[in-house]
Amino acid sequence: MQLRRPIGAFVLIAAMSAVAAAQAPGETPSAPAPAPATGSDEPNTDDYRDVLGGEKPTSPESSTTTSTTSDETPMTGTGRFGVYHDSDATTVMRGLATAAKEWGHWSLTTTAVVDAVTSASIDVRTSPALGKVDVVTGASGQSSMTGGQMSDTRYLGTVGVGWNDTSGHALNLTTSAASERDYASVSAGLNGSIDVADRNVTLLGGFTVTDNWVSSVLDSTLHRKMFALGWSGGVARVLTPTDAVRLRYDGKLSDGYQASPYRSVRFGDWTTTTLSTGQITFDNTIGSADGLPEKLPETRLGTALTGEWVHALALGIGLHSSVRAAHDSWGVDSLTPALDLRIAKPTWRLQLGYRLYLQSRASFFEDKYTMDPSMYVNYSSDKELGRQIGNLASFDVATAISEPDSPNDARMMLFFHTDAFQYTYPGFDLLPSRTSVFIEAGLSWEH
Amino acid sequence: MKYAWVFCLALAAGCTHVRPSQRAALKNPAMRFEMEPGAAAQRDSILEISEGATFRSAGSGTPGVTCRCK
Repeated sequence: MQLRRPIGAFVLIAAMSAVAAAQAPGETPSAPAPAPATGSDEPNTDDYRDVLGGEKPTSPESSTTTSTTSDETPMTGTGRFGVYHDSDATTVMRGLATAAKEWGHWSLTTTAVVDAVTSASIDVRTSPALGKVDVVTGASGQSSMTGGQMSDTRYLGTVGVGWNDTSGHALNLTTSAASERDYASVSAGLNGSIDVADRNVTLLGGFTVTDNWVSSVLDSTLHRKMFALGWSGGVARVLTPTDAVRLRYDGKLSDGYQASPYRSVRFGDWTTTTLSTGQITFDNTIGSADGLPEKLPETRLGTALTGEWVHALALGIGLHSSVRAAHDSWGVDSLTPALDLRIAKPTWRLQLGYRLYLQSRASFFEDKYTMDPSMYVNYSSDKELGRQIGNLASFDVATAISEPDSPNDARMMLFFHTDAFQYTYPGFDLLPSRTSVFIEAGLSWEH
Repeated sequence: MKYAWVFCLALAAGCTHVRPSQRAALKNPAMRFEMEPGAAAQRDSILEISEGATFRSAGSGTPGVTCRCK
């Protein structure tokens, strides 16, 4: 059930990202990095990947002592369990499992994700349809609505294939399919990179296509589609022995139904009453107190520019800073500065971060549409399209709990991850602020 | 946006050259743009549905150009 527009992306993106993480460069079939400090100046397969790449489980120290002559690495994998809860009465329990295997220059990764959602959020409680329904149970048994609280289960599977020649050329293809009671999605992405200038520079590019099918548990006649195309290009560069930067341009074009079939907009200088069931009703409205289904433009083009800088404070201690500026055709602008401190030691890693989010409202969004509906072309009660100020504090820690017996073995890592979010919505009377926390723990087998 | 591409080209064409033997600090996991990509992926999935102007890159993170290509 679509608590928020397109909430199905929650599970889809997480799983696709899990594939990306599982196929991190540290898991490429190439031999672990030789000792860099005393080696020659001839570039090798690992000279650059550690700067721009993803998580590589072996520490710099341990990586200097291991080698493998086999093209085949052991299977790696991750099991994660996390809980999200927010002050808007939404809870999500997530289980995620990933398995990855590499053969020579090729790799294969599969991921499965299950999300179990319960919610009595402001979108549910103000929905004239959902709020009045006592029990709605989907034929599949996946979703239900009882006493002002909905529940739903989402499933997703992802397969990714990667190719890396270990000489600075890489290509990755990922496909995914997701399903929930009233939302289905399929997606594919292709991206690649090329190292140049003795691997001091990496050129990046990629695109994704996603097709979405939207329906409603309350209206069996509603069947709408939304297609999205994403693209990205950028460059990363080593600046000094202790500094690297990356600049990336991202775009996304969405076309089709982008509203929520459950969200309605009331008109006039309305007031609200909260019933004992939690349902919120509206008084003093222009027209029906149930309002009208929200109406959004069917096309949206968004672009973003992100700059990043990572600086070594000392060996094993890094400071990462970034700024993202975004603009879209609906008039939503945002600015996102972030800073995080990382420590990576042979048997443990730690990361502390803070991120600020500032957003302007969409050009058609109003906290209250005080005139007759006929005066508006588009209207929405989606608070994420209004002004937003967000704060995020994050904490990640990982520690090795078993070391490999041989270079071709995987080692086991235990990790813990938590994010604390706080959003304010200036002018949005129905929900002035929201606080959320996501806590996750898991095990990974890494090579 | 054209200025961004100009900046990209300038960045790519910069004259600084860091030799492999000078990259000891850069090779540490703490110096990766995504040190914990799994955790970042989970975080980003929440951000995208919580923020009106946040969407995932087609080249990083999700299918993950920078995340898994090196």
